[in-house]
Amino acid sequence: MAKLYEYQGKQILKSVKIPIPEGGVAGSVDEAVKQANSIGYPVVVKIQTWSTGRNAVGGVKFADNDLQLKEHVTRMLGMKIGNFAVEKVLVEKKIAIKREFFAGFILNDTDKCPMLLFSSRGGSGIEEIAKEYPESVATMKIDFFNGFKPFEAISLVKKTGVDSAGAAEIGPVLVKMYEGMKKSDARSFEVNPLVQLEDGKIMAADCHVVIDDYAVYRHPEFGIEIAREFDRPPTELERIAYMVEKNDYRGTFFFFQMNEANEFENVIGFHGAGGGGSMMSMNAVSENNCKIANFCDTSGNPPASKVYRAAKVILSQPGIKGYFASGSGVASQEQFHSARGFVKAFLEEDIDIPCSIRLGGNSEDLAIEILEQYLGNKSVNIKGFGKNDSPDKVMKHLLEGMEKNGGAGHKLTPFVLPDVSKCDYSFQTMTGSIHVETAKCETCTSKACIESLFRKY
Amino acid sequence: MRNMYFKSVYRKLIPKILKDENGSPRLAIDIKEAKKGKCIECLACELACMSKGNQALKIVLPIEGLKEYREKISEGK
Repeated sequence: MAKLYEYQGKQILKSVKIPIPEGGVAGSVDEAVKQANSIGYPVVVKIQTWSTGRNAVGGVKFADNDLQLKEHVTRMLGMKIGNFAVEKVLVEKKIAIKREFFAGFILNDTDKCPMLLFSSRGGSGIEEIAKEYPESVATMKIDFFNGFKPFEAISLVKKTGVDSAGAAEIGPVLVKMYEGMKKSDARSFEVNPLVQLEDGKIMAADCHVVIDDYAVYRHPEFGIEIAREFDRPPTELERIAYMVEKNDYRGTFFFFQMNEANEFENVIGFHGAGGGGSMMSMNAVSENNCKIANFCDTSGNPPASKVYRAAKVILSQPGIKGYFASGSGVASQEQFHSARGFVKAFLEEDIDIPCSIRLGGNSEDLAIEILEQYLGNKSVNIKGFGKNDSPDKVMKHLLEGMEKNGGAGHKLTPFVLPDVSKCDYSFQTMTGSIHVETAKCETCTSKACIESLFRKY
Repeated sequence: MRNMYFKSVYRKLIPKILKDENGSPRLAIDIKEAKKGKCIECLACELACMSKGNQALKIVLPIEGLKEYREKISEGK
């Protein structure tokens, strides 16, 4: 779920004719001053990040003149919020707020429809407000085919204690918000606070928009590099991994680096398969006093080539002391595909760290046999496990291997593609190519390549 | 027995990607179909050739940007 910056969300609001404060985004002190002078003081300056709670970290400040603004912007640009370095600020005209509301549309996965949540008490700490004043919150499931009508919006707002005049002002804004949500393919479209100004007008003072991953390709205007939920810009390796996913629709491949793990002693590469199984497996990692250098998930029946590429990306992290692959215990995908992906990657890398690979699910016996056959003679511990082996047991096996390996970290080798210069027959596949040196085939008696899919070989 | 029956039927339904032609493997399906995804890149043929054949078949799976990335990391940049 790719998040938008506040200034991007406000462009959507503006496009559906919801009033927003005057102002614009700035990437430098000079730009910020220019923005402020064009709209006039006093202004509010806000850091642009993908996280909430900016006020609490000094990310929202008011300025009455150039001097104050410069001071704030100088401090804000370069601020670190978690892993996120602030590169932009939003400079807006200060507005006179009479009352604050909360309005948010989310895609309700349970009921498979958009849902509106409205509260007559907005502002920060909305979760606590909702607990303390439940009568001020109202929700509504929206029938996607019938749409969302102004009378429904007005009726909902009145349920939260807003008077008829106020509801008549807010209702049409909510309908426009719904249009904005649909237009931007958002999974979550939140305005908090939605404010009533001293003159009675309704305005969106802040917004938080999350775009559906699968719709990101329809919105190049948002400049989203990776259609995933990040709390910081992606790393170079994450960008490389995402290109693999972007160019191959078969199965899924998610890769995320955990920067804070780098300083830890027992750092391992993690390769999960399926969200639930991966979480269970990561519990085993932390319970055994290890940290993951990355989170990776290849699931949804990925081809062996995708698993291979995922493994190559994971093994592009020097220093990891082990490779732990473990996901769902009962995957319906043919696990021998994953096994072959691991084998090709590990052989090419001449793997130098222990690997514990749990491939529970369909054809797991064959998958384990394949791992054993091709990797069993390696100097480091490499072992396949099935559904009857708990993640904890597999993790303990990895720890034994790491100890046996003297705690040595993975050494990075150059990425070299196979030499096919002597091959005289080749054809393209979806994401690669197959090459044959036919002269060598003349003396081959097995012809094992022809019917190899379900065979052990 | 029932399981074995289904497995054998299932396997019969799997399209043959490679065929033997004059002693060497050739694409058994249309070249455009292979490119579109009928060859599912299972890597089985390469591993089988590696273990039982003469290591004559190689699969190339590029990863955009990884070569340069590793060079940069190795150089400590």
